[in-house]
Amino acid sequence: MIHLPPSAIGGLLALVALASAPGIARAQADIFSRDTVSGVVDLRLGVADGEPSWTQGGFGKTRFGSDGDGVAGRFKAQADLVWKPRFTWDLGAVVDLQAQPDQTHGVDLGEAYLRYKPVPHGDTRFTARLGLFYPEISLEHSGGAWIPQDTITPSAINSWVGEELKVVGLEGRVVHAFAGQELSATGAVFYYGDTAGSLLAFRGWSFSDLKSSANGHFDLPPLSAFMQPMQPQFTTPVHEIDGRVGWYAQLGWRRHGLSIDLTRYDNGGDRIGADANNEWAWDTRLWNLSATWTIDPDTTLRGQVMSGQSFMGYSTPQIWIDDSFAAGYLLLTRKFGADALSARVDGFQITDNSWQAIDPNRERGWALTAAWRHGLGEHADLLVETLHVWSDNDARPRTGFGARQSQTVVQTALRLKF
Amino acid sequence: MRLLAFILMLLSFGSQALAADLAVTVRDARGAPVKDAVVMLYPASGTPPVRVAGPYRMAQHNIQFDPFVLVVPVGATVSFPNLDNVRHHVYSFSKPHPFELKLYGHDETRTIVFDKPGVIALGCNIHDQMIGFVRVVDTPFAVKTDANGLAVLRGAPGGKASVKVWHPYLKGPGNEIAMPAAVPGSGTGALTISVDLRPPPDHAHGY
Repeated sequence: MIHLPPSAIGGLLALVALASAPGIARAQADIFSRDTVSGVVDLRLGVADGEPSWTQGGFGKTRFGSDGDGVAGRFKAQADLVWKPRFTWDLGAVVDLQAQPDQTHGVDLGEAYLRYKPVPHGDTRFTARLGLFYPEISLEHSGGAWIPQDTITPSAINSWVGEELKVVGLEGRVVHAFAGQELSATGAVFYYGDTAGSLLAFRGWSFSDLKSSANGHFDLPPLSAFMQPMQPQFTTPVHEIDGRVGWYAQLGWRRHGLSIDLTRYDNGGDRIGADANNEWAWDTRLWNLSATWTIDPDTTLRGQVMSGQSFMGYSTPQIWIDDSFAAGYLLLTRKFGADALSARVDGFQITDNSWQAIDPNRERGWALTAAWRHGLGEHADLLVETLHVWSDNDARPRTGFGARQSQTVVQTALRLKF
Repeated sequence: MRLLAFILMLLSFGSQALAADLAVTVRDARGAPVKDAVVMLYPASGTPPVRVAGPYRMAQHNIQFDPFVLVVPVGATVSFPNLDNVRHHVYSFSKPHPFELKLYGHDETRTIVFDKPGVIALGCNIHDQMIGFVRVVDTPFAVKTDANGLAVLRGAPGGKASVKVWHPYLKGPGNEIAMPAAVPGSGTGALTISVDLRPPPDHAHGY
């Protein structure tokens, strides 16, 4: 079995581009024109109270945190450079080079895939992609840079999609239009999704716009004494360990004003497979139901619910990690000309089905988000967001904090687009 | 001979006196004016043949189709100039006239002749957000509504007629409704039509 490491994908796409530039009729290819390159620079100011963020070694749910005593302010800058070459009129690629300096690989590939999209000649159209990409589960993210549209911080569900559900795979989609409606069916097989579930089990849900990078890893909050010998203090989100293929399938239906998608994902992991660092192949499966209701041309209500299970390790006699997880949100967005106001309510929980006494992972919580997006012309957006999270996490006392914590983060982001 | 000329003159005056304008205002369920609705009139006495004049143009400008809705008579030649610097891959799979145009930037133009009446829904395979429509009509009395929801059909023969209103998001079979109308013998008649619109479609997210 040959697996293409994610780090090789960007190089391969660049090679395809260079090789095809002279080979394909010049008229067909558009490799390096201005139209193929775009980007976003995000300048961020955040103020937070509460415990340290999970990105700083704590159990804090948000990207910004404090030391648990007072309020801390931070500045962050990040960027995405998106390259969309077209090799023929039907075949192109999407490459997102992301810079998130607070990650282990501050500059790395976000997504990199070939896409095949022939012009439809009837009511049924077919598209496909091959490479490193996110399954289309999030209703909040869009564009080549895969950024939340109307808020700074995505919901719990889509924060996790951004952290752990990226895959290296082959995806095909068929969309059939009839009587003012569309039915779609999507299927994919993938590798490099083996560690999905690690962050949910060892940290819990989060609210952050950090996107897993192709080669980087995320540090974990302090592990239990039971887990320390079995798991390193980090997880590699794009990682192939067991050589087994995973899959997902999606059915969608949409008509004027309403769309519904149902996704089944199964990373097919061998839960007793481990690599040299003791990172394990998790067995993680989930259902996701998404719906968008366009109430009127300026008002949209979006919602998702997700429910799944994760298993990791041997049965001794209980499986080391046996979790059930669930989350949901409703997001209402109303546009007023160049402005958009959004309000979101999130609920989330993790049920721990094994080793509760010595390795507790149970969690429950909720969050409220309010965001204002103000368009500053064609090339800039200003966003202001306040996010309040309350959570009860049985692992949290390991860091000296009580299990129940609440936290408020106020952020402003200036997004410069080119 | 003079008498014959006189009679012909009378007849022509008479027929002019029997032609009139019909001002049709289209409003939505909330009473707001509906822009880009195509109002078509079919006189009961028979629909005269269409007149192809032109030029007819569906541009691509700022990654949008411009205009959003273009009304053309059957047999019209429509040009598709690309006014953007980027390329567009314009297509339609609508039954009256499926086609595909590969348009490089820098003002490249191609033309299509639409020889059957109907609705041509346009898309761009590169820019999914681009949506446009060509309404090919088989009556000389067809005008789309302006920002005030107003369409004035000029020089229609007086008497009974059928009026059809089409809009891409109108609720109804074929996104169209039809109703009887009366065109006055002279002057300008007025008609207000109320329609139900759906929100614009939410296309499957693509890449």
